[in-house]
Amino acid sequence: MSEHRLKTSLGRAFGAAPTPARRAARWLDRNLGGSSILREELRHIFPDSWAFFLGEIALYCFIVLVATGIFLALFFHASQAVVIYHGSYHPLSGVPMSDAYSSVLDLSWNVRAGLLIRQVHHWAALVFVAALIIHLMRMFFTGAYRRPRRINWLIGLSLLLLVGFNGLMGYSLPDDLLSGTGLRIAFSITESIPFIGPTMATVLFGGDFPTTGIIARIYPVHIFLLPAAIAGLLGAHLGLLWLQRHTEFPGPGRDDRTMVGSPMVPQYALRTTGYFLLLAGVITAFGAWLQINPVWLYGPFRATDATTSAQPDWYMGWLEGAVRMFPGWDIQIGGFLLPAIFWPAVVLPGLIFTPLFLWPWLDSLALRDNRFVNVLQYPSQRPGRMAVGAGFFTFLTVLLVGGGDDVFASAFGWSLPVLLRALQILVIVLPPLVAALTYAIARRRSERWLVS
Amino acid sequence: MSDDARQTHAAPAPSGENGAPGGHGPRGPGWVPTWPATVGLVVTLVASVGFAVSFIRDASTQWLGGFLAAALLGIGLALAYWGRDLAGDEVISGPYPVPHEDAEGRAALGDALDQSVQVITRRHFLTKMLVFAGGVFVLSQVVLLGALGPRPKNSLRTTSWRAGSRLVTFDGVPVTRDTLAAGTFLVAFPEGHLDSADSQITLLRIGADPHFKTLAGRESWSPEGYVAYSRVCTHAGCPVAQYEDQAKVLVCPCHQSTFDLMNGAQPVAGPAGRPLPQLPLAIDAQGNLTAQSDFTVPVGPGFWDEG
Amino acid sequence: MAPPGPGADIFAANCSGCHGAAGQGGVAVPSLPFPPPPLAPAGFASLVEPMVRQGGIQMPSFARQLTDAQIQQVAQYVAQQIADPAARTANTAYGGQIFRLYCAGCHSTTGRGGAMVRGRNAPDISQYPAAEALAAMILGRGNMPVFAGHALDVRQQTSVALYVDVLVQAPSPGGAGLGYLGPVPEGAVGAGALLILIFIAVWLAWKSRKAVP
Repeated sequence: MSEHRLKTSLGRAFGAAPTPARRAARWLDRNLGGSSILREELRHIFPDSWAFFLGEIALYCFIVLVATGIFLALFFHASQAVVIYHGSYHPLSGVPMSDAYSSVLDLSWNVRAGLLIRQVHHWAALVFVAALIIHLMRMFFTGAYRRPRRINWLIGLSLLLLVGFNGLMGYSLPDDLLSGTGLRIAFSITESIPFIGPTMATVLFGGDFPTTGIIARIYPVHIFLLPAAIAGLLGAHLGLLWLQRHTEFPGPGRDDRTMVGSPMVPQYALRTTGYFLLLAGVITAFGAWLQINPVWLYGPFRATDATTSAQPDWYMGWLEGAVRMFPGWDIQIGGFLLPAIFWPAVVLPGLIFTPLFLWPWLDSLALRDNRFVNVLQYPSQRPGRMAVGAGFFTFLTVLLVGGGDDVFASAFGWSLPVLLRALQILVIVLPPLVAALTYAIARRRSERWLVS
Repeated sequence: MSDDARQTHAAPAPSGENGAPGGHGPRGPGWVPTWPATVGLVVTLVASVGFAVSFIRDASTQWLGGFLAAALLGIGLALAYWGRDLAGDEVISGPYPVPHEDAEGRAALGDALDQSVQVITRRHFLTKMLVFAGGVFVLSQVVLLGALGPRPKNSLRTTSWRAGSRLVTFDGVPVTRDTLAAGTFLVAFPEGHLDSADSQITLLRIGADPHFKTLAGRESWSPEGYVAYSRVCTHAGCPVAQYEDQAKVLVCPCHQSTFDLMNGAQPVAGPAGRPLPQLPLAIDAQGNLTAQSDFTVPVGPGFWDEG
Repeated sequence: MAPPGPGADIFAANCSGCHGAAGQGGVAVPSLPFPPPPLAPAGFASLVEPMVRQGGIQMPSFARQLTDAQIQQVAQYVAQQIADPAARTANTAYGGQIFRLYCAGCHSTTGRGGAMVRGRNAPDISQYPAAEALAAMILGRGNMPVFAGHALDVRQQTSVALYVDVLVQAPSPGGAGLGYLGPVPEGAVGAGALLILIFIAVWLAWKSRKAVP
């Protein structure tokens, strides 16, 4: 028995010296009770693999976003009242603009640390969605969505949708030229829905585009409604995770009933706190040295102004690409019109997300396997799933590239029509090709797996 | 889960507390240096002061953010290293919670729930009324959506152009028959509606270009070689702002819908499915360009009951 | 005619050969793709100077032939005596409004250029002195139509050039500009941030993985 252990047991036997931690424990028990549960949870097991940090990246980005968002909210004016700008950024001096845009200029040029916080907020948002998607891919390819974690898969996907949508709202708030262009397209997409579209668009926007009240409407959605929903779902996501515990990769001593890992206190707690601070530091460094969304160069939104290289933030890029690549098949039905944009912008997202939501059930139906599992699979253990996933993400990646086709053409001196046609072919040809190739490789690997 | 179910596979590695590593004990085989954590904390100490000073001195975003990032990275590194290398490799194992295979408990829960439900459903009429009234109540709240905005009425079909509206530039200067030479263009608006998004037009002077096709029924729409098309894209509504002079096409910078100016602004490439509507033009007695009427079809992106 | 002075002499000796004695513009020469443009909208010495010093797409640099003082003198002379007086009423912010209406569709709001569907891609105008924008507006360039005299008067052309000068200098208080190409490079760089974070996670988990019993 080590000296440390000895000291601890002696302490227990003869009444512990009242250290601050012991006093805190006593206070907790007197005021809240439940010390035995708490004591057990101090030893909550956390798995030791980098793959389990992907979800934490997302969680910590959310914390950074809330913290920086509170700062930004103190300076942003959610109003489209027209003001004449006379602030520090002279190239816009005397230009009529919305109060919202003007307040973002002031925030960027006059408020101390304002630009830093704005840039950190934006970078954190980009990393947030990226982390959610990588996290989702990890869940998918390792089979972490299987019973008993199917409900949490649904919660996670809902989080992805809400976070992506809230990112779009945040992109729209500064009321610069890109913001307004995005809203213009959102209005047009809503308008294209059969029967209810036109009414839905004018009701949501408060009239025909451009309306003067849309920023004021988006603002509470962006800073309250969606963050509250995200926080709630996040709580449920983590609560379920806590109850069910993490999954684990196969290994000695591990099975569906036994978990191996580090205790929460002190090792894991130190590591994850350190990781949160490292993440905040990395994103702050990006915000300090890499300029993002320089709205003063874009100018205020006016419905007559337009710019090339007009893209949404990257996580909407697949949708932008689909809208660019889908041919102009407007369909006239009697006295009615089904605009082409309806297919890539409304139907396609449904086709992408519905199977994702249903995946855990489709998977267990297809395999007739509904077991309760805690041990993960390696991706190549399931060649079929790996092929489907590889094809799916290839499809989305081609769409994403299509969303920036004009920027690539311009930056690399390519011909845009040629690039567009190539992408239109690739988006159909490449996913099945990648899927087939993945299947063949994974099949060979899994056979070797079975043999060994 | 009880504590006994867990086994500790590895004793806590000796850390500073019990003498061995921590920087002041003998450097045995398991010795781990503490200096990385110390350096991290020193960085945080210095950078925090740097952050406050650069804020007070209103330094650039790069200094301010650089110090903040360094402060966060320093303490983050210290804690991460602490947890990874200094706190020991304690690996523990324990049971996963397994769903209750205890059929008795599940049945008891089912019975209890069923009894509670029966207390309510015993009152058949009341139950039905409850469902009915509750449903109607929830549905009635949908009317609140009406507060958000008007139904579209005619706003999607009409613009600010009227018969006799004079064409003006973005500055409000009237466009006359002499404003454009053949082969040039400008953006025009109806007089008094410079901010009208759906009324913006691309006005170009074709002159006597033999390649220009006048569509049937539009013979009188282009006096003296002036032609006007809506500048709102029929795909997603962006201004069709790219004018390619040699190819005589208008291209939308949002999704690259391409419209042939020489042939009724028909879509020839990209995702738009319908041509840009043409505005019938006239020239009044003073030589000003005017509109003969509003557009004859709705401008901008398509919608369901447009047809 | 313009009054004599050092600027006038420098102009007569170096500029009038192409741009005309009164800056009215020259005729096309077979060796030049574009004729030398008239100097009517060159109402600000700050627009003329960089052009004389660095040269443009076809105009040569005069940094070797002329001293700094001479360049300043001739720039003053062009702005004060040669350019149309209307040009001097131009305004940067007004130019920005026109830029976003007429120019940003092809060259983008940041002036970094953009892809075209039928012709050559629109160039990055921040690589040239802002006065080059005046030549393009006056003469048109390939797929770019003529704006001067029809869509835009002299004051408006000069205003656009003043605003282009802002874009050439590209105020960048937020750090590296990432090419000023908007959300596409931002997304790619954001993926870099995620990679760094994953790398840190791998480092953090490495030791513990080794410790598996």
